[in-house]
This record gives sequence, C-alpha cells and structure tokens, in this order.
Amino acid sequence: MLHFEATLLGHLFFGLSLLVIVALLRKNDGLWHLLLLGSLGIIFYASSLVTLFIGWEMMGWSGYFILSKTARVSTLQRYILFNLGGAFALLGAIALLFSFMGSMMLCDIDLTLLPVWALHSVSALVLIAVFVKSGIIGAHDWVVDSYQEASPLFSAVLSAILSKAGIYLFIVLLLKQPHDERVLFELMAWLGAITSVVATFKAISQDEIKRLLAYSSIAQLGYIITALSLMQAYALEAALYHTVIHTLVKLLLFVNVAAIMAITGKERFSELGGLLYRVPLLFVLLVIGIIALAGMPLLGGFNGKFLLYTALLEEKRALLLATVMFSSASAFLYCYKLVYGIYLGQRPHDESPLHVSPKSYYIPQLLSAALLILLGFLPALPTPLFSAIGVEAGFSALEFTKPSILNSPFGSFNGAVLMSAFGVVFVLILGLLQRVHSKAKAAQNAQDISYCGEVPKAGVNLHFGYGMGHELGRIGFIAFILRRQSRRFWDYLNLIVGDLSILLRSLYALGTQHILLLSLLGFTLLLLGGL
Amino acid sequence: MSLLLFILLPLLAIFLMPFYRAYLHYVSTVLSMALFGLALTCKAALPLVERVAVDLPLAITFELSSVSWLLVTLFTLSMSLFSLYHLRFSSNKALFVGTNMLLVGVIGLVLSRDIFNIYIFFEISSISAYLLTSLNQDAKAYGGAIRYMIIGAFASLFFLLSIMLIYLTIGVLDLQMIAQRFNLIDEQVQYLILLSLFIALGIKTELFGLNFWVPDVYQASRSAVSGLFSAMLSKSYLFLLFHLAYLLHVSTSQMAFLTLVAALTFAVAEFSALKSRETKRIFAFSTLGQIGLIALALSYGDTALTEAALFLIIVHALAKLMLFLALDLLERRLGSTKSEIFARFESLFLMAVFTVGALSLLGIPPFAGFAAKLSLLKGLAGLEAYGAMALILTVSLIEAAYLFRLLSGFRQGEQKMVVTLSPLERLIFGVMMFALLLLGLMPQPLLALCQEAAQAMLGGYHAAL
Amino acid sequence: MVLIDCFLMLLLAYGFGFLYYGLYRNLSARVHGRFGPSLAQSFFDSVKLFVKEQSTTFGWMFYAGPIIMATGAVLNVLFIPFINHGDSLQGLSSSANLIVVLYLMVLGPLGNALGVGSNGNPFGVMGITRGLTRLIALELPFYLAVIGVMIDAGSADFSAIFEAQSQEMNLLKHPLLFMAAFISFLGFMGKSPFDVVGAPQEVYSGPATEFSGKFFALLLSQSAMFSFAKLLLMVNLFLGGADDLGDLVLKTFVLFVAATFIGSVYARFSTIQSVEFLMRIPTLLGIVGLALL
Repeated sequence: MLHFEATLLGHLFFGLSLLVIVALLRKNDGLWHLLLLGSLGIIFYASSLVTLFIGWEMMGWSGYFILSKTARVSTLQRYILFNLGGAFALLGAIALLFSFMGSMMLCDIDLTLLPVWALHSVSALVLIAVFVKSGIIGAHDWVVDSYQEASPLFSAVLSAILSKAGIYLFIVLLLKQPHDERVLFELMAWLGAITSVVATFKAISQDEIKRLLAYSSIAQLGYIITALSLMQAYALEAALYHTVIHTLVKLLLFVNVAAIMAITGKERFSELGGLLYRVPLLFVLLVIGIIALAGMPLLGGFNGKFLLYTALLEEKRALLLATVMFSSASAFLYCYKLVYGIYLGQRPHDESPLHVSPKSYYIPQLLSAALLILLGFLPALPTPLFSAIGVEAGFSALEFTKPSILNSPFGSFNGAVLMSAFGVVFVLILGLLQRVHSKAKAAQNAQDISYCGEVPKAGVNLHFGYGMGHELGRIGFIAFILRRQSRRFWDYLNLIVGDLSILLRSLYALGTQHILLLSLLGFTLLLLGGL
Repeated sequence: MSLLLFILLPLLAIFLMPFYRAYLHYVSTVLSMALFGLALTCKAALPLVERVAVDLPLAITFELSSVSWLLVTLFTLSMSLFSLYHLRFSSNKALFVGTNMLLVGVIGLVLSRDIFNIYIFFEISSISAYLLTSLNQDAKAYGGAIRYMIIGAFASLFFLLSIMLIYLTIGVLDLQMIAQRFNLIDEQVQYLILLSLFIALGIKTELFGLNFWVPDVYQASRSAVSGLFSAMLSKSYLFLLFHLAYLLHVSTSQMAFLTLVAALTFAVAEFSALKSRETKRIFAFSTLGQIGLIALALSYGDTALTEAALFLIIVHALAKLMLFLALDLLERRLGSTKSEIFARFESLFLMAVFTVGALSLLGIPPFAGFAAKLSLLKGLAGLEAYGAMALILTVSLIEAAYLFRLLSGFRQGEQKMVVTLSPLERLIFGVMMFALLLLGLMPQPLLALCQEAAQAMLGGYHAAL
Repeated sequence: MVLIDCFLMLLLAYGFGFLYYGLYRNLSARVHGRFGPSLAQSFFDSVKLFVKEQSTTFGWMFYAGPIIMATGAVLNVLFIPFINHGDSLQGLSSSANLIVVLYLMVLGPLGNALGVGSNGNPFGVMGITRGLTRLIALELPFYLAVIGVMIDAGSADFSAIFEAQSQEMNLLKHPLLFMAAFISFLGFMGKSPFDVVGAPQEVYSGPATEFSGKFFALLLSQSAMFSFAKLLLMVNLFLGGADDLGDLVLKTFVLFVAATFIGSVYARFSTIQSVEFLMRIPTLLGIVGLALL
C-alpha cells in the first residue's frame, strides 16, 4: 500500500519540516505534531500516488485536530472543508491519471500520453489542491482565520510548513512531468501575481498581528506559484529558494509574535507598541525577519526574489514582473507596520504588567535568523542542491561558481561583497559619529516629543499602530481590492447548499400514505413509460 | 455440517427461550459467535450447495457461494459484536427474539436459491425488524414500527406479485431455472416482473424514491438496533437486488436506471443530512448515502467495481455498527441523540471511536473507508465513468461537512459528563477501530476475498459496455 | 585600488550632492522670485552641524536609524558605476546589478522609518506611512521602465545596459519608458508635485525635526549623496551613462535642472492624489512603452 523513495526534493522539504516542527515541539500536543511530521514524511517521500494521498489526508486531519484545540467551529469547518475539497480534487486527479496510466507509481506517470481534455482536467484538479493548500486568492478563505485562531506556535507550523505541501505537490505532479499544458499555467502565473498584490494590501489593513502574517504568507506563496508556473530551471530554483526563505522567515516571525503574545497577552497592533527597549533582542530578531520578508538585499530574503525577477525577465514577462515587483514593494508597508506596531512608538495607556517570555521562544528565532544571515552572506550556498533537484526534475543544471555569488541568466551578485560593504560602511559612519551619547538628554516621558509645538496631554493616543494603512482605503484601486471578499461567495454557496439540504430533507418527512402513493405513482409511470 | 445450521440454530435458540430466560444475552452472544466461527470454517468448502426436501422445481435450495459466505460472515460478526455490546445489560426477550430472527432472516436471504424461500426470509426479516423497531415501547417506537409495517407490507405485496407472475409464466421458483427460462416470458410481463421486484426490493434496499421512511424508522429504534439494520438488513437486500439483476440479465438501460437511482440515493441523502441536528438521523442519512454509493458501484456490473462495492459493504457495516453502538452508549448515559450531546460528554476513548468511524465513512486515509473509496474510484476510472467520479467526490465534501460538524461538537460545552467505558466495551470498540485501521493499511487480503466474491456474484453477467 | 575608487566616488558624490543641493535652493528661489542662499550654504550648514550635539535622545534605535539610512545612501553610490566603460569609478558595481541597486535604495527609507518610529512621535510615523504609500506608487511606473530597459539589454548588469545604449540611448529608443521613469524620478527626488511634506509644513513631522546636531548633518549629507545616486541611476539607465567626468556632470546637471524646474512650478499633490496620478498616467505610459518593446 505504501511506497517510498528518497529524493533530493523530498529531503529538502522534509528537512524543512523537521527543522520547524522540532524547533516548535512542546510537551502538551507533541504527539499530534509528531503525527503531522509523519504525514509530511509520507508525502515528501512517497513514490506512489496513493501514498502521497494518504499523507496528504493525514496532514489535513492531524492539522484539524491540533487546530480544534483553539479555533472556533466555523473556522474548523472552513479549514476541513477547504482542505478536503482540495484533497478530493487531488483524489480525482489521481483516479483520472490511473485510468490512463494503469499504475499508481509516480515514476510511471507520463503526462504526454494523456489526451488534451484529460491533461487539462488533471492539471486543473491538481492545481485546485495546490491553490487550496497555498491559499491562492479565492481559495484562501480558510487560511486567515485558521492562522489567527491556531495557537501561536501552530500558526508557525501552518504557515512555515503546511502551506508548502502544495508547492511540493505541484513540483512532483506537474513540474517534473513533460507536457505541453500552457493555458492553465498562464492563468496560474497571473493568479499567483494577483494573489500577492491583493494579499499584500489586505495584510496592510489588518489590526491583528497574526492576520497580517497570514495574508503575508498568502502573498509570499503567490510569488512561489508564479515562479513555478514558468516551468524553467531558474524559476524552479527561485521557487525552492523562496520556499526555504519563507519557511525560515515565517518560523521566525510567528515565534516572535508568539513570544510577544506570551509576554503581553495582546494580539492587536492597537493594543501594543513601544516594546523595543523592554525586549530588544526580540526586536532585532523581528527586524531581521522583516528585512528577509521584504526581500531586501543583505539577508537571504533577497535571493529568492532576485531569482524570481531574473527568471521572469528571461521569459520576457514584463507585466507579470511589474505586478510582482509592485506587490513586493507594497510589502514594505506591512513589514513596517509589523515592527512599528509592536516595538516602536509609545506604550499603550492601559499598560498591563509584562510576563517573562520563555527562553525556548528564542531558539527557533535565533536559528532562522542565523540561517537568513548566512544565506545573505553566501547566497549560492544551496544552489548545488537546487540544481540537483532541477536535474532530477529534468531541467538543465544551474550555473554555480562559488557560494558567495548567486548567478542567474540575467546577472549575478556577490552576497559577501554586499554584506561586507554594508558592515564596513556602517561601522565607519558609526565611528564618525562617536561620542554619540555625550550630552544628549534622554527623553523625560512619553509626552517629551515635538508635537505641533505643544506638549501633548496625558491620555492622547500617541501610538499610530492601529491607524497605519487605513488611509490606503481612500485610494481608489486599493479600496477596490480591500472591498473584495471571497468570503461572501463562499457564504452564499453555503447558504444555497443549506437551503437545498432543507428542501431535500423535507422529502423524508413525508407521511406514510404519501410515500406509498409516490411509490405507486412511480411504479405506474415506469410501467407505462417502459425502459 | 449443514448450511441449515445457520438458520436452525438461532430458531432453535428462540424456541428454547423459556429454559434460559435470565441468560438470553449470554446465549445470544455464544450463539452468534459460534455461528461466526462456523462461517469461518466453511471458507475451505466453498461453494456449498444444499438441497432440502423434494426435487426441483419445488426444492428448497441453499447455496453458500463466496459472496454469500462473505456476507454471512459479516452478518454473524456484526451480530457477535452487537451481542457482546449488550452483555452488560439485562436479558431482554424482545431483543433476543428480534435480533436472532433478524439474523435468520438476513442469512436466509443471502443463502436461499429459490424465490419463494427468499420471500419467507423476506417476511421473517421484516417482522423481526418491526419487532426491533418497537423495542423502546413508547409512542415514537410504535409509530415507527407501524409505519415500517405498512410500508413493509406494501413491499411484500409487490414481491408476491412478481413471484406469482414468474410461477404463472414459467412454473419454476428456483433462481437458476428462472434465469434459464426468463427469456421465454413475454417481454412486457418480464418488464412487469422486474419492475415489481425493483419496487419491493427498492423499498427494502432503501433506494431513492422508496426510502423516505427510513430516517423516521431509524430514529424511532434504539441506536444499537439502527446499527444492526444498517449493518445487516439493508446490506442483505442490496445483495439480493443486484444478485437478481445479474441473474436475470437485466438490460443495459435498466442497469443505467439503477445507476441513476443509486446516484440520486447517494446525493439526496447526503444533502439531506447537512442541516440535521439529530445524530441518529444523520447516521441514518449517511447509511442511505453509503447504500446509494454501493448500489452505484454494483449497478455497473463490473468485476472491479463489484469488488469495491463488496469491500465497501463490509467496511461500512463495521464503521456504522461501531458508530451506532457508540451512539447507543451515549444515548443510554445522556438520554438524547441530539447532536448537542457531543458537547456534553468527556471521554477520550469515545471521541476516538467517533472520529475513526467518521473518517472511515468519509474515506479518509489511513482508515478502511479510504481503501474502499480508492478501489471504487479506480474501478470507475477504468470504466471511464468520470461523471460518477465527480459526483462521488463532490458529494463526499457534503458528507465531510456534516460529519466534521458533529466532531467539532467535542470541543464545545462547559459542564461535561465523564463517560467511562467498561473494559469489555473498550475491547469491542478497540477491536472495531483496529479493524478499520488495519483494513485501511492492508486491504489486500480482504480485497482478494472480495474479488473472488465479485466474480461469483456477477456469474455470467457482463454489462454490455 | 577598489578602495581608492570607492573613496573617489564617495568624494564626488558628496561634493556634487551638496553642489546640486545649493543649486537647487538657488534655482527654485529664482523661480519663486527670491535670491536664495549662497551655493555652499548647505555644505557649510552640514559641516557646522557635524560638530553639534543631539539634544534629546530616545534610545539606541533612534540613533541607528540615521546611520542605516546613511549606510544605504553610501552603498547606493558605491554600487552604481559613474562611468560607462573602463575600470575607474566603477566602485563595487561588478559585484551587483540593477536589481540589487533598486532594492538597496529601500534600505535608507527602512532605517529612516525605524529611527523615526522609535521616537514616539505619532506624526513622524504618519509621515513615514505617507512616504511609504507614495513610494509604492512611485515604484510601479519606475519598475515598468526599468524592466523595459533590462529586457532590452538582455541583462540586469550595468555593463550590458551601457552596451545596449552604445548606439542610441534609451531616452531616444524608448521615450515612453523614459517618461514613465522620469515622472517617478521626480517623486524619488522629493520634487513637487509628488513630494511628501517634511518639517515644518502642514504636519510637524519628519525625521529632520527630532534629529538635531550631527544626526541632522548626517541626514543632510546622506540626502545629498542619495540624490546624486538617483541622478546617476537615471543617467545610466536612460542617457547611456557618462563617457567621462565632464559627460557625467553635463548629463546629471541636465536631469537635475529639469527636475528642479518642474518641481518648482508645481503645487504639491496630497499623498492620495499623487498615488492615483502615478497609478494612472505614468503606469499607462510604462505599459504602452513595454508593449512597444
């Protein structure tokens, strides 16, 4: 029943899962997490479609039971229905593949043998599964609520690992197989780009931290989906690189937020602020996280984006690239909101006592921060692995000179030079400004600021965390994006199905005489009508 | 050893009831387990044919083919689990008579090889079902029983009509001979016979259009009894309906009609369950849905699909029996079967039972339902029945919606009542859960048996594709 | 060798930065009918401020902000080649490419935002939000143009971009892309109508108000150098780069004067107006320009 095979791709994805889950393992629901890890192992090392599917479903329901400890019922229903919908689509694709291939082994799949309609159907069904898992816009309805209501550490697992299963699925089922499906991939490329734009603006307008992170997760997966749709060696590298980075970044950010929630007990920007000098290490870690998330140079986050951009340039997909770059630039806003809303600005008025954060929160953050810095210094470090995975998938090998130089067909850059230049310049300027603290007086209190030439009264809200991003709603097209909600569609669908259910159910409330009458009527009609 | 033992032993037990009035539950348990053991030993000797009394055409013939063996084993196993579960309750005459007669009825239905005999067991199983429905002895139970009785009588009427027509036209009652001579009958009469059989067995099989009474009856009965109906009664008729259909070589268009009815049964029942707030009713709808699914698979007359259907019959019987028994346990403790009860009890074990049962029903790996659904989909894919595949997958989502809503009830509610299970109950449910898991992980041995059975069941029937 | 090169580049950027800043103050004063300060006034201001102390402090992050910002500006200067051929005045540009430079340009605003955020002044953050919002809109047409340039050159390396312009500069080859980029460029240079108010107009905010003394000097210097880097980038992208130092001065000066004059005559858009304008006309120009590619 179960067939396994060790592949580099599997090692990569399972390695990431192992890293995240082990880093987040806690005593209270460790068993479920291990089950989850096991199901991920089944997925990533599966060599038959059935095995893959078994892992896929186990991942779905073990996630459900972990989530069920904290989430509301409606969220749970959404989680499981979307995930099962995706899983059943996958099952449909598997059955369809089986009917043409006569085998369930991954190695026997040859998509070129499929007639056109079957190829379209299989691709579409697999894409549904991928989109649901990755939360591509339209199928993202479950993502945000689940992330918000999951326990802080499980949100990290959801975002860092579970959302990547879709990426793996796509690579294994569609990317590795030669075929000439293009229409759907074109659609997918744009869906990914649009997802990243929409989710970015949605993220900016959120007040809950975890909702912001959830939308940012969706946006990042949008980039990966766009990269994958190009079906090209460097684009695959971009997707894999971005996957790795996003896993690290989201691990860092969610754990950071978890630590903040443990310390303050608050989870909204409007209730937080000014924690910088209370927990400076957490602040620095978060800044590292958002620099990587925003994809700025110096840290690893830039590398994935760089590869994606060059791949898009190579394919001459100018508009797609502009959309992606636009969304990436817009991401600065929510990145800044994240760091400002929690750490900068003023403490809120209802200052409640702070708890000490558990030390264990620091380990995963330090780990991923270190890895992000390492990848910033040596951006091509994982290139040989990605290259080998690409070769496994039938692409040509990637260009690799040395770990500090990341190559792409559209240019290369040297991470070590970049990082050293930054370090040297920073230190020089710091040296220039020595004697910084000499005579400056520390600000007396929260009101000791330049405030329109006055001193603000106590009680005036001096923290802007909540308001940040609200003015975006006044810009026409952003307001248009913010007003769209797929939730309405799904609610409407739910309503229709529910009404249909009540209508059909009334059949089963018929009286005995009516049932008999109906049976007789049916008998007569069939008798007269014949078959 | 005689096949008659399967029928005579329970009947004998019923007749001798006065001698052990206080130990009926023990007798029932020992008896059903003995029958289960007996069934297992018969495996080597398949197929067994036994003719009682006079010559053809009036002989009473029993046949234990590999398919009826599979079903008899399933029925005796279900009965054993049911009786084991009832061990801790006091001896109950009506329950003893009802269940054992039901066992006789369903075993007789799958063993009999002549149509009049089938009618006798048809009636035995019906009467015992009425009896079991009224077990609770309250207005609801009697109401349900009477409703069941009226509709059952209606079904019997049509069954008798078809027997009459067959005997009038070809003068035989033995199934094999009917099959041989069926072509001799005037085509219109043929159609009338088939239609009457469809109405009679359709009511009993609980197919769409004829199944509107089912949820009420299930709701009126005790949960455990509903489990028995679900595991045994409907399954035996399902077998009978398609056995006759294959034997009489119904036309392709008639099979297509059955496919349509089955699909409707499946879809309508699952949709109806969506908004229900009564667990027993939800499980009843789910049973209807699964019956529709099994019928859908059987209606293609294809070996692979029949194999999948038989596997699904077994898996569903196990899962549903487990769910209904667990519900019975809750009903006894909490006095209700409304879906709110899920929020009112505290028992990790029972939660696991419901979860495993629901996941298996849904066909979610690694439980047995998945193996069934997978082989079903594989079979459908082999026939290029993509519409049916899409239907199954879509409707399964509806099924997931209500089953997971039930499961999500666990984590609501404040004051929870701690429900403890006796070691025996733990054992019963544990074994069933383990079986569902095992069948999910290693379905091949059972699938092999099902394949053998499928070939026996289809006989010479091949759908003209 | 590289170090000397870098040092020279910084020196040039610093000198030209302040020269242009003084020119800007003069030119815009003339446009407004005033005389304006002397050409070197800003330079003297910054030198004087360097020896002054900061008056109030809000902690180390408050100080780190301007330093990161200045680091970003310096890095930009170092990674953009001054001359379109040869080895001199190339800085570190061979280790990076256009995409890296585009992203390095955001490093400064990040440091700024972090520093301002840590001072506890809500208006400062309001200014940052406005700045970032406008930045989003500015970048869209600019990216469209840059993508066009990179696709045309077939590479993101500066040398390839110069190579592609050796016959005909991008300004003439892709006028629409240039127009899109130039409109954004006005905003990047902080020119009306796309500038964001700093101190002391309208909203009393911006980094310059809370920072005083040497930090203010640092901010002034980095702003001058950063402006020069942006001019340089435009020259490299659309005017074919500079053949020699004279060419560099000429080309940057032309761009600078154009930007200054336009900035002097227009009134400022509100943030929302400028975002909506940038999302429409220059974006459309950019898309049409890409379509014509």
